[in-house]
Amino acid sequence: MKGMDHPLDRLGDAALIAATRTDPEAFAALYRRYERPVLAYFVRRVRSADLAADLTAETFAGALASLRRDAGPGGDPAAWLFGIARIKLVELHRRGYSEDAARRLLAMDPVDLDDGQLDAIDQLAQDDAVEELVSALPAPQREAVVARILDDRDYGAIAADLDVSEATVRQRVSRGLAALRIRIEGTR
Amino acid sequence: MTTLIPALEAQLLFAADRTTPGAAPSPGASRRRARWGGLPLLAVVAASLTVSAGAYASRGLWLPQLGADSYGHAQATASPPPGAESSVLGVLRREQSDADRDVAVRAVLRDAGPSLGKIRTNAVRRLGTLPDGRVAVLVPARVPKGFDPTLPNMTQDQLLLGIYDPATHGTGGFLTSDALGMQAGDLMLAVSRRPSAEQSALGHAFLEREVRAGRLEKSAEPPYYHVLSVEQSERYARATGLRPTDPDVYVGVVPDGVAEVRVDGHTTVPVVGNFFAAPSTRGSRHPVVWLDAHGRTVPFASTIGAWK
Repeated sequence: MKGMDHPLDRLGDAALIAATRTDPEAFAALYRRYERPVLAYFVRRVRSADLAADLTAETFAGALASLRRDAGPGGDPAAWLFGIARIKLVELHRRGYSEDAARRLLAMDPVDLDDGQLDAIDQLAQDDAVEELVSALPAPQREAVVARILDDRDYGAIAADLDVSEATVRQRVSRGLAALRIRIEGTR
Repeated sequence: MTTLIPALEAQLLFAADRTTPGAAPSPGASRRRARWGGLPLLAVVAASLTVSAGAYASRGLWLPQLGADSYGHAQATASPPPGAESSVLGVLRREQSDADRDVAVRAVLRDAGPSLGKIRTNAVRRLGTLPDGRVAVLVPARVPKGFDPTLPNMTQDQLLLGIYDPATHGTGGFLTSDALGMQAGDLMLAVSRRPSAEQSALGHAFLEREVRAGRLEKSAEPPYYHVLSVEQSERYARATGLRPTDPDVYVGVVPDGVAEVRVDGHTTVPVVGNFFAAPSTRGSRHPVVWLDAHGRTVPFASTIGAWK
């Protein structure tokens, strides 16, 4: 049975987000799904495994707090989650330290990491797999994913640049992320 | 999917559970307010056993996450506990409630690796909350043949007493050879030390030889669950004579008919739902005594006779 996923792990992002309203396990499943991408996002930018883990914890705590305020994703869940991550990164640069407001709100304790965990997180920064996977997307999806997720641009602005409708951009981002998720899971 | 930071996953699960509308009161909340000498023990235990009978009576097989990718998964089975267990443990005869599926229970089940074989998920029961906030969970399992080579005649129907600590999100637990073998002397050992989050994958395991030597050392070697109970005669002796070296709490599961447990010669604690939790009395050499509703001693042997 090794490798068997929890049934929630087989849900799509939107269904998983919906399930978090009544099933706490759904949020744990969301964490499992996006832990590595979010950690990689941070560790590539802050070059510190400790800090990346801290920011990741705050990002997921912020996401949970938002869901409990009924302020979940209006559109793509991954874009919403990475939007929170980007805000945490901006706040880090502005304040000079990683905040812990969401974790305090949820009465979460700091997490101590051992050397093995820190090494594994550092490895994410050196792993080019994510870039390779993104670069392997069809050009329209790649452009949309990079603009929306990595650059955190508004759908409207992206649509104007690409000369397509906002709905088309949303569709490309959604399909690109879905393809990425399948490919990331296939590499594990 | 294996996470890089399982402790964070556990904390998020705990926070999500605590903030889910309609969720049961969190173990963490009870830990903060419940201390030895605070609320009466019976109130603490009874409060943790609030059930909504019939909540899952007509539903199918419960499929919580069992184990983890890092050490494998037990399987869920719809088969009910054998009569040898359910006939003597009323807690297994009542219907599964919302509380029986709460975050503490699920945390314990995430320790259920492949060595445990099959878990009777619909028969999992939340036994109660210890006064320090830790949660005791009963997990019926059907272990593979040859589970413990040193016990070739051991029944495959096993019960796991799992412990979840909301302070550390650590879990631990061990099996007994069967329900009636779960004597206080055994079960004290399971919670004599507080598992840490780092130990959550391993749980708490004590080798039988360590118990005999009076040393309670965590075994780092798989399988992670060791059967403490050996042949019956030795089990009886241990139940009445062996004490952990430095326990902080005693917990136990006892058969129907045991209303109280005397743990140190004079301190008596009530049994609720086949479960008791008692404060430690260090250095005591008094045996653990089971008492019926009239204060009479319930002999282990006569109680266990049904499964000889």
